[in-house]
Amino acid sequence: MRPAATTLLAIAAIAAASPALSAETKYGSGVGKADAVKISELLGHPEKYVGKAVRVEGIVTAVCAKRGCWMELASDKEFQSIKVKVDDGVMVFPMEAKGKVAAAEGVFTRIDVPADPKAGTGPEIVYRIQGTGAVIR
Amino acid sequence: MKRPWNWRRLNRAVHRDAGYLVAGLTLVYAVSGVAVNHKADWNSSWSLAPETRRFAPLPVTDRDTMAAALVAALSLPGPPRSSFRRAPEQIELYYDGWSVEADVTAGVAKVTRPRERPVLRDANYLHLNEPKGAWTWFADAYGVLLGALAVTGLFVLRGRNGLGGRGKWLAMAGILPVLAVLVWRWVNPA
Repeated sequence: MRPAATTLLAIAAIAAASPALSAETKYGSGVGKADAVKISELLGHPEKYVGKAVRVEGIVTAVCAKRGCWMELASDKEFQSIKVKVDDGVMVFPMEAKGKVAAAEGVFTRIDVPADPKAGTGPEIVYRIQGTGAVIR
Repeated sequence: MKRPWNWRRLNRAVHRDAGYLVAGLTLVYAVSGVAVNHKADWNSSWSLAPETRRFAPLPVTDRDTMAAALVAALSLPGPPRSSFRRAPEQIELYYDGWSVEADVTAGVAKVTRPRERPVLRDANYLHLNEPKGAWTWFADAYGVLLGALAVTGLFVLRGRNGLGGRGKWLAMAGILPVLAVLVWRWVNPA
């Protein structure tokens, strides 16, 4: 292949890789398969949902600033939120997502955080969604 | 006259052309590689630098009333896109690309305007494969070429500067730290 053609091919690949300008951005497998559940319902009756695939929707209240590997969604009930965690690099939630509405899908997971005598914290149960896909708009 | 088959000539040609092809992205990945090595201490993609502002304490009421009062108290540019309360006295206002977190009882607000770090954010965007799609294939091809560059590089020279001479010692010096860390990991599993 001629060097000029190689250069053009590389530029075309980069252009094709650029995310499309759209009001709605899909991450991972997106959403749609699981039943939509209110975050307040998940956190109110967690035992019903642990280990199950769920879909939630809410305003993005925080995003992992270092790797974009989690985002936090506001509940429909005040003072509640839930973290949607993804494996590093699988999806990268953008910092600009804060304040936008997101729908996320994944497995509702219980995490037993052990007591940390050094930090003076007791054992804690944390619920989060191990995300498989999301849509931010 | 046709020249006889010579694998070293082919090796040199592959090494030369692969080197030209991967030079640009190698520099990008090198910059990003150093940056993400230190991600625990420093956010190499974003500069957050929140600005702390103080205001006269506001009453704890409902979210909309508190949001409007905070907008007025801080002279913010109009109502936010959305808002959230983590606790009765805490409210967060979200604007396009920036946000305000306030404790209305304490009268303290933190205004955060994340800014992309020039060059580093772009380098990390590519290195961490944020574009996905076609970039994944491009980056995979780059990885294959980089591997070819490494292997062919071992055989470019002959003699005392080649792999049979000082080359073997340098190659071993390069791989030894890798093996040492892996052995340490096997001996001390997490």
